[in-house]
Amino acid sequence: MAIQSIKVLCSMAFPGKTIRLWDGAGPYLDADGEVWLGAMLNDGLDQIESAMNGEASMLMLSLSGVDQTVSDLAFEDLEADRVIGAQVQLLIQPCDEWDQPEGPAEVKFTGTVDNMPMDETAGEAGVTATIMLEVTNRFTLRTLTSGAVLSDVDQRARSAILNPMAAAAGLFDRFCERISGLADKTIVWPRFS
Amino acid sequence: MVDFIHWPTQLLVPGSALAAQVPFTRSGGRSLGGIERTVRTDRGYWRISLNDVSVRSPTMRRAWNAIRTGLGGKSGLVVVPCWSFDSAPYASGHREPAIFLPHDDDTLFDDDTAYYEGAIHIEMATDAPLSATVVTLRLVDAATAEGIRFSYQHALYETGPIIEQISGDTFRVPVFPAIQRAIPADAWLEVDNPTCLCHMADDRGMDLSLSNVEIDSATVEFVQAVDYWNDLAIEDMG
Repeated sequence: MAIQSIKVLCSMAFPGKTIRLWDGAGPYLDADGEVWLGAMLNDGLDQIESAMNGEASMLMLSLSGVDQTVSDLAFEDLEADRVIGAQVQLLIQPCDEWDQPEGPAEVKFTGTVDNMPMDETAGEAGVTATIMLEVTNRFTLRTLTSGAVLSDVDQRARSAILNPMAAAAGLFDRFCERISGLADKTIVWPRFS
Repeated sequence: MVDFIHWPTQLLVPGSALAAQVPFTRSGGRSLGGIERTVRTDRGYWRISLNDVSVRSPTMRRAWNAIRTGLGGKSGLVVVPCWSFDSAPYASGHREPAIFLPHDDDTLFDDDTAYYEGAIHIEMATDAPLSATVVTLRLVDAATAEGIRFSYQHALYETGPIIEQISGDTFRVPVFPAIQRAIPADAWLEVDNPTCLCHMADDRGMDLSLSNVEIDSATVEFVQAVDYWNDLAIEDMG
């Protein structure tokens, strides 16, 4: 039978506490006994969807109706500089015909928090306070042209990471050793006379 | 439990009432043939409107003002009655009055009120955990478990078709919305006059004009206070 019902879940692992939100109204208790809060994700769900399809490498999540505990924690952790780098995961939980979870939730996107701007907007209907999370994953900067230059120093540093055992023994990749010398190198056309 | 403001059911009576389910569905839009495929992401929440509440006496006006001031905009919580006498499963098949009982020695409370007991008696047969969508009801004194509304601690639910008859008087039924707070087994559910904990849908939702003849009516829209249940779930988790 086709899936009629899914749950969109979002978990944020701050050092102090893991915040679990989902795209629904009331609270949701999963099979592991964790409570997911509803009514908090607003903007950016379209982006979540594209993130789930594996297209987005960056995500702006906006949280509305942020309750005291979440925002307090967010402020605290932001002050303590612990928000940046927190892991954010988006999951989809397939459900059966009674909207009960069926099997484990599938992780669709994993990223880390890059920035957390907060915003207050005054409108006719009242003041809207939102916390935004800018989440990036490892593909974020892949599309940018790398400005790196192939140099001996870089190559040694890289080899120390790629092959730590050799580095410990004092051996480095010497592939680019003579690169710097090549800039001024003159090759004389041989004269066979 | 917190003392909520209660909408005075007998005093401020709406001309008509509407309890609407708001499910969360999502789709990829319409296809060229006009067909849309949708997926549900949550059962949803309640929206209740009390249409044309008639206010015509000083007592009514004072009650109205008191609620409005007590609420202080849409952040305030109010317990709203959800008219269900149309579908309430009275065992006799007719509408029965609620029962009011005095103390053992036939005295009443200080303010001359008595213990309230609904005419319909339905119990939760087994524990209904948070976010359950199928519950088991035991009919003690009721006609059916199908398509009825009940509330527990001001969380309003509506049952769907019977899935399974477990025994003579015990039925498994789906509920809308998902259970907002765990309901223990044997809990007595409010079926006569179910209520729903709500916020006003609008900061100025209780505007009321004063006409020359001093008979006015206004429509008030409410949205279920799911944030309250969310907070409570977190508190219960510790």
